[in-house]
Amino acid sequence: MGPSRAALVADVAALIARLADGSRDDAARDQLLEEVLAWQRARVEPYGRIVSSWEAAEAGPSELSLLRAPAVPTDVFRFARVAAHSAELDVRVFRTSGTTAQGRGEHCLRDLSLYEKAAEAAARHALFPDLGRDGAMALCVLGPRDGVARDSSLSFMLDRFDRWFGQGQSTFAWRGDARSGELDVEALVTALARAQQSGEPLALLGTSFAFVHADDALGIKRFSLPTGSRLMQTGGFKGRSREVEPVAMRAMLRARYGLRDAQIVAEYGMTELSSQMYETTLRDALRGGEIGPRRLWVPGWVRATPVDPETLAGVPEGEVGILRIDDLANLDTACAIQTSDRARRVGDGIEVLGRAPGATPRGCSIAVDAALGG
Amino acid sequence: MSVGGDRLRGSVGGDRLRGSVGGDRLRGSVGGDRLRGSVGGDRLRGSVGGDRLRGSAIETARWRVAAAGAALQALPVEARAEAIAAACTRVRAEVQRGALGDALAASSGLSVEGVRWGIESTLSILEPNALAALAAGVTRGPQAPVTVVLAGNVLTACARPLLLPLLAGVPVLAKASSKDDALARALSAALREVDAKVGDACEVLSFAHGDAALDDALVRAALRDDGCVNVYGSDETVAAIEAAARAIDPGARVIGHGHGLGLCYVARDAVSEATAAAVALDVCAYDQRGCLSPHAVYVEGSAGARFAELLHAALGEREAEMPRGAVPQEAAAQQLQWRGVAAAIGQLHATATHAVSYEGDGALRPSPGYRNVAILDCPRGTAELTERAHALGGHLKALGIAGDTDVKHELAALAPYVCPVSEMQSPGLSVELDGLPVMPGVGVG
Repeated sequence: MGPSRAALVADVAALIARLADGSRDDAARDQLLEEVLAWQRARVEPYGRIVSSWEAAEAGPSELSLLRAPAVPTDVFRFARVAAHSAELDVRVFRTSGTTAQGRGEHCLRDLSLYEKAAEAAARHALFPDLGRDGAMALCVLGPRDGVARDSSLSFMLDRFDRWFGQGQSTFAWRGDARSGELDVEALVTALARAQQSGEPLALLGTSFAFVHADDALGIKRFSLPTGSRLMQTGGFKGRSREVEPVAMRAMLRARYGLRDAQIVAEYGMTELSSQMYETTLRDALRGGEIGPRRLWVPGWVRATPVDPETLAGVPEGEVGILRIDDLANLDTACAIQTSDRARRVGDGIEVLGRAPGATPRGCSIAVDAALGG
Repeated sequence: MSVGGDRLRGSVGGDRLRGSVGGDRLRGSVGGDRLRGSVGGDRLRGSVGGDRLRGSAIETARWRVAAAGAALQALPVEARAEAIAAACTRVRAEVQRGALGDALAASSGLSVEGVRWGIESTLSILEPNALAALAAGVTRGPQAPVTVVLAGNVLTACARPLLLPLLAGVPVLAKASSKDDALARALSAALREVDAKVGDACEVLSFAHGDAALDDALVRAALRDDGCVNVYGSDETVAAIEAAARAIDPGARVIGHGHGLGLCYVARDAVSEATAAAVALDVCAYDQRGCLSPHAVYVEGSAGARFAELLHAALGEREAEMPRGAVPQEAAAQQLQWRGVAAAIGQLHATATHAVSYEGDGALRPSPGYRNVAILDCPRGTAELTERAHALGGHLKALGIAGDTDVKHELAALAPYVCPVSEMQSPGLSVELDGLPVMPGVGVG
């Protein structure tokens, strides 16, 4: 029989609420994950097939722990519907970038409540820890509003940030639609100048390539943002701008906006996830503690494990594995997600080292993908 | 530019996603002097000991092989063929004895058995009579050295580009990846040992992919005296060398051999254990890392599911004879994705060292290599395969066929190299891979 969906939604929501302050209860998390994974195995067909295939080849069901079974590779979202519900119940479909023959991956959500709870809790803890429950600050988003980019999980999240942390007064420095539009440099400059003149801190939020485009467009203009300002960058470059190494990128951002290194926070998110991870630098700096090596904070309702891609076993601390993420907020799709990102555990966090570079056959595959219409 | 239209998958802000190889250094060599190298008795030349290779060393090496051209040309073709064959025999013997086989396994990532298979299947056909017969069709006068940029994905991919120009009397300047130059150096050293007039006309230089300054120096040296460059490797490598060459001379001759893949076609009547064993060899050779390696097997009609089971068993048997080598982490990550999709949308037959997916008549999903192969039904037979193959354009480089004469005839023009299954990775000496002459860039064929 198992638990009902409603009961699981309530359990996940309660866990997120309980751990929103950054506390941990990994035993409770893992127990709930096992329940949710078992529930999903019976309802999310691609996940069920993956686990059954693994059982048949490797394990046998007697000692099955779904946390040791394979996760759903992100590629599966491009080939199959990964959801416990039918398409009529979708309230939102987020899509990955589309550069391959088989099209864009789809994350089909039946209800946005867990996404919102997870996104707000993580951002409040790591990106806006100084705001307090009802606090707000000025936000400037280098991208379109949710209404412009309906299938973008990032736009959705940043639009919600406006509601949660910006009192609906945020600047969205963007002109036109999501695909063919462009950065609104004038709006960006206005937001920056306003913050500089008023002394009110500003949060700049956007993708790495948007910040590179902004840097190119701003020319000789330099800003000195007020104390308490911060910058969140996410995503790679994907050929949308020149590529800039992380250290050089932060130097560029510091010089352009007058920020300290700790005020620049990288976010790790994926279309296929509902929760995000943030670097700990800003929170550590605000608390006056030692900042330590750059690493991502893993929210208490998320399990992030660098694994050996052949054995699926977690790799020892410090060793590089391929990142598996179990995200309880993905209740209606797949909690267990297997990424292609290289990562290692660093102290209490995770360092993501970027996508595993393609081996030579992969190079052939990419070329063939393109030839097939990507 | 587009922002926010989609979430960038799994990446951290500011993170640079592309791997890079920097600070490449030429392996143990000393400028202008000859040394005995550590692998296969190779003697390395044209480089600066302990330091990064300089453009001037490339120029010097090119000058040396050009200077050796006259002596090479003066040799009768039979003598050149004898020298090449003798060098191949030496290398084969060294591989069989062990040390060179171990070194090649370590550098290539193949198992020792995989190395031995690759060396034997490639070098054993380079015997004097076959070489002389091949050279008989080539008539040409004195020519500037051919420069070849060698690929690193298949262990023996260096053999033809390195040896066949010499057979035609044309000196060779070869650039190998510094990570995977052991066989090229072993062949070069063996040539010098059996016949200095041939060996001196062949130089192997090593530096890492993506060193623009050295690429430029190599191309400048290559294009002198109307010389040409053959580039084997990724499409990106080919494009980079082409761009460097065209910047120097818009009319530069650059012959590219870029990305590609192979497919198999199994006719309904050919579905059998024997066919599966033959396909298994094509998949296992070089651990499916070559541009001739099959990514998928199309099975006529709807017998794909049965053939998938047969191939699964055959790959298990082949593993016992020729184990898979090490899988780099990045390839293992891709394998994990590929297998996951197979399990989610089809039937996956997997072990730690191989996987066969059956995905009905679904779309081709390129394999990550390393013995992961898809089986697809081909309900309309050869006509359907022809349509599907055309979508791949020039990327389809090899087609292995199990079927009767009519099937072979129908599919004969579908790829540059069409052969029976089991022969995809061992093309004959006269096969025009890539649809290019056997000795691209070498005089008149």
